[in-house]
Amino acid sequence: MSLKSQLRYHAKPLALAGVAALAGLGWWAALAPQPPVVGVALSDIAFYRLPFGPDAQGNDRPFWPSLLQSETGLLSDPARLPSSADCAACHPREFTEWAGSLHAIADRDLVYEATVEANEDIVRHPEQGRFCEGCHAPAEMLTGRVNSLVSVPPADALTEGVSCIACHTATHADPLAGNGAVTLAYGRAEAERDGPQGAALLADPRAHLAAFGAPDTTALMAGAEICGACHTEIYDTSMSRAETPQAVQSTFVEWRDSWYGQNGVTCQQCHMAADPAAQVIRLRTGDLTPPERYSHRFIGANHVLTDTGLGEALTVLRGGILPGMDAATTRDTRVEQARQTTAFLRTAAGLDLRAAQRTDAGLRIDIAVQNLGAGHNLPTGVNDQKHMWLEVVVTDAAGAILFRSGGASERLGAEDPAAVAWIEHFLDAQGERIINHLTFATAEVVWIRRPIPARGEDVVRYDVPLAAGVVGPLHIEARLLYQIALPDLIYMNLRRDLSVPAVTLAELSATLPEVVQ
Amino acid sequence: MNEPVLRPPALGFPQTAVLSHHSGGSLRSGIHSALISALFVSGLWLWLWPEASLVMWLHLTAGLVLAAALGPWLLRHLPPGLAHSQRHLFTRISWALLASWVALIGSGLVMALPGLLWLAGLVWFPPREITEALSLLHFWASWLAMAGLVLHLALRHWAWSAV
Repeated sequence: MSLKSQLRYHAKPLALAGVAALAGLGWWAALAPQPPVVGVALSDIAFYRLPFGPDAQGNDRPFWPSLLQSETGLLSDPARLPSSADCAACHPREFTEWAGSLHAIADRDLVYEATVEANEDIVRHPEQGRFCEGCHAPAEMLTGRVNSLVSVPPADALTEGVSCIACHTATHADPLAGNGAVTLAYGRAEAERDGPQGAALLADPRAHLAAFGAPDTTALMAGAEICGACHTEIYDTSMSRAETPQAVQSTFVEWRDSWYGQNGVTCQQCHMAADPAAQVIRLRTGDLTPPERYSHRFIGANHVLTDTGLGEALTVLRGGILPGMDAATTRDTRVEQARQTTAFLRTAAGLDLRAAQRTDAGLRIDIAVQNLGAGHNLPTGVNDQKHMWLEVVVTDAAGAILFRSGGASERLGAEDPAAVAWIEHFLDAQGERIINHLTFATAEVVWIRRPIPARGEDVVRYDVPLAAGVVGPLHIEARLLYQIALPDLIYMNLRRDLSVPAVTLAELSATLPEVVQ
Repeated sequence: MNEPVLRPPALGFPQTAVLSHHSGGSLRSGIHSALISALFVSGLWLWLWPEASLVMWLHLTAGLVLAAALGPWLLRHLPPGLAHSQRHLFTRISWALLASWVALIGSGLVMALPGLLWLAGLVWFPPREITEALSLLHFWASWLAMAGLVLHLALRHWAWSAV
């Protein structure tokens, strides 16, 4: 049986072209210049110091005391790491959102930089600063620039803190270990540079997706674990004077044990919601619907480094304008970041007057401070700086102040020792308080007042002495105030007398006609 | 079984038409076949090694050329082809082949669109899920299109009873 003429005719071009294409591709593959080897051996970083020795298995610990790891064990060539500005070519919205975030300036923020320097000044090995930079500057870490003798050239990608590639190449995270226990496959980002770019990338983005959206990375980015790797901080003898582990940040565990963690509400669902405040309000009503769109603003509690009221000082404090951004876009994204941050903070807490009764000595007031919207303790984070306090003012019928607690902090720009404050103190080896976040000198961390767990409350009691003849009705004004850092930190580390404004999380106003007539 | 195979009578199309029964094909359709084969091989290569930038460009260019050439050719091939198909099976397979080609070329064009827009100075691309679905569709449609083409070329479209 003979072949149909059409098959006879077309078999030849089909076979010949197929074989020719295969041969051509094979020839091209054999002769084309091979892409450069990805990764830099530790031994190739000149003057790179390993002052803390190997681990228990005898392996080098290039990033110690940070628990940051490189997926391959190799470091990266800074010239080949993509800057977030490169990502902006196709992802402008994500880039612009991120540029307003605190992640973008994690390694540029002047207060942070000054605090790292203050810490390094008190230790023999400046490389101990790697403990901080593991989370704040992963690109600098993984290129070997965090070293007392810097031999690695700078690059835009190294100035961007928690940049696009920091999350989009993550392959593993240990949120219980914390201290930057995240593994990054920066090699993927380097190799991707040799693949299709521009139009070819857009026509077939599989190599790009394999580099920045690999299944392991995508799964990791959807959960709280990747956040927990850096938002968990435990001091031990590796980086401090603490003889026993001191939990400094426990945000991940706080979330894990909360109603939010139990119901699968991840960090991303609030902090990366397109409208974080609205999302929190929905959650407060029990609606677990995740946000329709995620944003890269990572809205959090830092209301100072988003405060556009600071004018040009904000640009200085944020370490200048990011690569790929111009002044106008920077201003616009900061305005939106500030708006969302303020709105977000206002969803976190509430105040409720539980009791106000006359006693022999005067007036007894119980005020419940409620954690209504935070999926973790309130406050959380590094709470030797991030703290909140209650300001309570009782006035008589004429408006005269009969009692005030916690007012000095806001008015005088200094801590009010008499205020009811949710704050932890860092203590040095002599038990003296460290006020400017000197990690390496800290021996113990103690809470002055324990933070309020998610959906929990802390009832604060005030006994107000009342003089005879007080004319009622009495009036109570209470405000729950939050401050991102102590003014002393700025003064001592940055050597500047900058005010650190507080933000009002919740307010209470009540008249008590039945207490004093 | 030893009877001589009877061929259908010559169709009344000029030799330049898209049904060239006597020779089995035209120069143009032969070039189409060569392009299809080269695209299939380069596509497989890209599936395995998507980072091959040069291969991507060649595949994209050849794909656009084929899409531009095949459309008009198919429009002219279909009406006489349908008219002269004497077997339901052949007709159905041909429609399935056409569907796979539409899926193949359509998905390829949509995949190429973001790249072409980039060259025009515009940035647009579909969501990742769509991109991945298009990629899968393009891949499997290529197998169907290739197998269907060989089947289309090999199967007789005439019915013995009608000869």
